[in-house]
Amino acid sequence: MRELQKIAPYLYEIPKTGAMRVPGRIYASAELLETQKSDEAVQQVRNVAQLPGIVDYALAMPDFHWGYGFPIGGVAAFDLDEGVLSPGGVGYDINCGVRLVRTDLQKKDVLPKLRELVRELFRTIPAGVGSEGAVKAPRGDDARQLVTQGAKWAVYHGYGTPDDLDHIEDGGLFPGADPDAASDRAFSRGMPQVGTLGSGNHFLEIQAVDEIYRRDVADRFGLEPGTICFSVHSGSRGFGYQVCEDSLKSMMKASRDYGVALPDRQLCCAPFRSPEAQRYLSAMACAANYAWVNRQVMTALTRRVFARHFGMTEESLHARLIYDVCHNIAKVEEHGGRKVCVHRKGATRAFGPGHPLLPAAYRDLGQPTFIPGDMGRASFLLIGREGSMRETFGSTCHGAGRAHSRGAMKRMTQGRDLFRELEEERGVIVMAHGRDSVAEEMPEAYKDASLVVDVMERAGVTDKVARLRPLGCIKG
Amino acid sequence: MSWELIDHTGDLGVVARSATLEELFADCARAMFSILADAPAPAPAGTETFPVAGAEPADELRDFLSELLYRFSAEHRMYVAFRPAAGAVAADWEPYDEVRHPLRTELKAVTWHQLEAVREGPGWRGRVIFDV
Repeated sequence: MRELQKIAPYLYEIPKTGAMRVPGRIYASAELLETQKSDEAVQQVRNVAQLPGIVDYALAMPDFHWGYGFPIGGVAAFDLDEGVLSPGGVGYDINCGVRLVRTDLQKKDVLPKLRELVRELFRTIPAGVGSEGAVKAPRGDDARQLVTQGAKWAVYHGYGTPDDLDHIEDGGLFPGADPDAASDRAFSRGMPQVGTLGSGNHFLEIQAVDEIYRRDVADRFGLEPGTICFSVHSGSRGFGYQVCEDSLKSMMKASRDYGVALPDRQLCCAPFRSPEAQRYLSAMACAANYAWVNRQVMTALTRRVFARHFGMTEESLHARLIYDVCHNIAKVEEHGGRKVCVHRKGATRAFGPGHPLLPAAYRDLGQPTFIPGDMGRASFLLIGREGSMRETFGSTCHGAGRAHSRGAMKRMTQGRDLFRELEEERGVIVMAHGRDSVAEEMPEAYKDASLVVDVMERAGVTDKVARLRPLGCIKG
Repeated sequence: MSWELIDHTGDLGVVARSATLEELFADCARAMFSILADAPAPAPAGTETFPVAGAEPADELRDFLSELLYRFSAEHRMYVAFRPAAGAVAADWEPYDEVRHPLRTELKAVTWHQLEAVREGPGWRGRVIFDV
């Protein structure tokens, strides 16, 4: 990484060379850069910079790491007339995202009943490989309505309240969804999985607010030290995976047909206004809406468990959704006075104060963004600042970022009682369907999320609002 | 075993070395199902045959694995044995059963990233990265 040039205290530039159309820019601290064990992720930033119509820079957030095609943590904006749309810039798990819900409960109320609470959530929320069965699989017109209506479909079916919709990015509805653009395979793979966590790094976590950094903002969100929250991290399950799979095949052909030179086939793409790109956008919208339904259903199920467990009504629990963000998506947005298609793959939208797309209740604050850390340390609630609109196409990081591979983690944790370690050394009760998924997701698999969010704060992109410590976690 | 699992930061992959292209397909399929689930006591209920044309070996390998992954995910078919033959791979399957087939790791997709199916000496070498 010798060619990286430090151009600001937390910003490094990859100079434009060879086929690059724009420079690359990486947000990082020297400490975080040291955790990049190889050059592959930096090369992936260079590759993205070669795509037609890219605007200003190919960006990487401080949690970036080696993905396929785009790096995880990558952000790139493309001109609508000269630029492209790339399914690889979104990823297989379309609209994978995370939401944070606060409650009126305090840590001291929850700790004595924590184990039973985690157990009850583990029984209620289907998780694990190929998990199914949270709700009866929607079929026919109902399935088509699900993917066109998004989170509103879930609320209509009794999962959550209309107030939730005001606290989801874009109201939980990606416009332009066309069920005919998604294959029968996407429907048959995805519909039985509505309301399920899945596997990998997805989770449902019970957390307590541990530290407040912006009292003025935290008050507005109803957060104080000790406030119990829960977060849900999942995406579009088999529906989204299949949409991406189908579209990559058609985009391979489109790249050849339109003469787009690809440094990596996983970057296959088509001109934004082409029929191929517009069809993908319509299918991607279906998957984005599916993901919002998925998180909405799990949120409603979790509220029911909390209320039952603590002998409260859902109303008295005041389990209010603070915000739901996507971190694998492509959206048409206005930046610098022009409309562009912003790809965020492992990156989160973080619009600054006053942006018209923010809900009225938060518009003066900026967009809330939730950054999950790892199972043992901390997660962070952030708020978008003006700098994000100037510097990162309104984007920030999405998590801690991987430091060790899944295979390395399994080798490193052999012979250890991970569940006991997490409980006795970290104070976190974890229930999971497989030891492997816990081994792969142990805290040391990740960079320290606090280092990541500090970079974005010092770069003027997002402010920290609150830190949350995990108490209980369910995983696949 | 002529295949091994390889690390990729957030994902998993397989590298296989096999005598023929059909065997390479079978080895990569065995590797993929070893990631997905266990099948300690297979009792096949049916067999499907997948052609191996060899015109574009790497893409065909990816498509073959992707097809198996779809059938596993959506049709709940657990593939328990792969038998290479000339120009094809026969795959034995049984209905997926959560007790008989303890699940291990979910794979979202078979990617094109670093995809390879090339001749190496007298045989073939393949590499596939799965999205986890």
